[in-house]
Amino acid sequence: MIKNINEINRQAWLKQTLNTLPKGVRLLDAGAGELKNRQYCSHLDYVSQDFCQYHGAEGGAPEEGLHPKKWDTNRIDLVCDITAIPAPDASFDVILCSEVLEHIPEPTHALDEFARLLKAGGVLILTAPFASNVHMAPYYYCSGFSKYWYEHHLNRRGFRIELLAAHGDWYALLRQEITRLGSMERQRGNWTWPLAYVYALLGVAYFDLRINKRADDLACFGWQCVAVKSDDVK
Amino acid sequence: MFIKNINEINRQAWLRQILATLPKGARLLDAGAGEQKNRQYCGHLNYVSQDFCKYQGVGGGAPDEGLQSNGWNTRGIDLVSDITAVPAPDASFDAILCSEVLEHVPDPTRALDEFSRLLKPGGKLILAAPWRLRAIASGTN
Repeated sequence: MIKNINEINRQAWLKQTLNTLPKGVRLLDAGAGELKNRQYCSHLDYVSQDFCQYHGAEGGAPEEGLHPKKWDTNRIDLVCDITAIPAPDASFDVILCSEVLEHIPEPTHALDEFARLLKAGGVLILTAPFASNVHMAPYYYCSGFSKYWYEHHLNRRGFRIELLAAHGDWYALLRQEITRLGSMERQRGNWTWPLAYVYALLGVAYFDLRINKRADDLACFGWQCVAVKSDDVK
Repeated sequence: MFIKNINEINRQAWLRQILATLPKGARLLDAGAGEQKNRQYCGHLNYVSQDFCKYQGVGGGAPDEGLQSNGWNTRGIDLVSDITAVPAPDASFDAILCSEVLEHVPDPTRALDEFSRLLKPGGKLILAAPWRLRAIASGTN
């Protein structure tokens, strides 16, 4: 009942999408963090990038929002700002940037850099939250990455969008937050926490009853995007 | 009392209070003013409105996605322009108000650049923007 379908379904989609890439192509994992997606890239020439300045709760993160205890970025190939990656123009066949854009002050500058780094015909694979809770503060600037955000910013940079699909919907989002209610109340020491669990169970049961009706135009976990850099653009 | 929209009510109460503290006659730009909902709190100010005036609600051809308002009337806007290129001189405003607008701007930080150009030194910038929103006024790039 309380599976994290947000994470599970996104990772399943990434695995499937990365699997279809031809053997040996050069992929940049931008904002690779702990290299969670490297496992799907063993057939690829995998290069990781991260700014490596976030180290988790035990590494001095402020006591705000959600944090992993530790965050180990020791195995990153290119340690640099995501908007200034030390690699030549058109040197990658594929760029993956998953759940990273919300941590960048100027996410569109990262898109500029991806457009520079990709070969013509190269593939950009993006996921970013539409509505996430604060995590990895203070490196959390903005979510709300909407369908229209991808269309506007990718088209004007010469990308052709091949796939733009909502991951989850408004109901799934609500369900996700309700499943968090009990543990959140308990963590924060609110005496009402047992009630919260009861309410959450009822809520989850409700969502399971009406699961087939979607409202992804209203809100969702985030959009999954595959875009191709046009041949006629530098 | 359970289903009051406390998001809207509390935000508007805050705006009203903040705007009331501005000195009489100060020149204020309401950036992305839309239907000039906040003009009512600016009776003591030299109020100038700006909007791109491209969104017109459901009746005005908005796509069938997200939440849309039925009508959206932006007649009476003083400066019809892109919010990142407002036709006014540098340092020509004492205050800029930009409430629930940034989520509709493709490059919101460029609007901030423009506000910093338009404000006098010591000028005040009053911002409100949703942290977690549902899609409203979609497709108005």
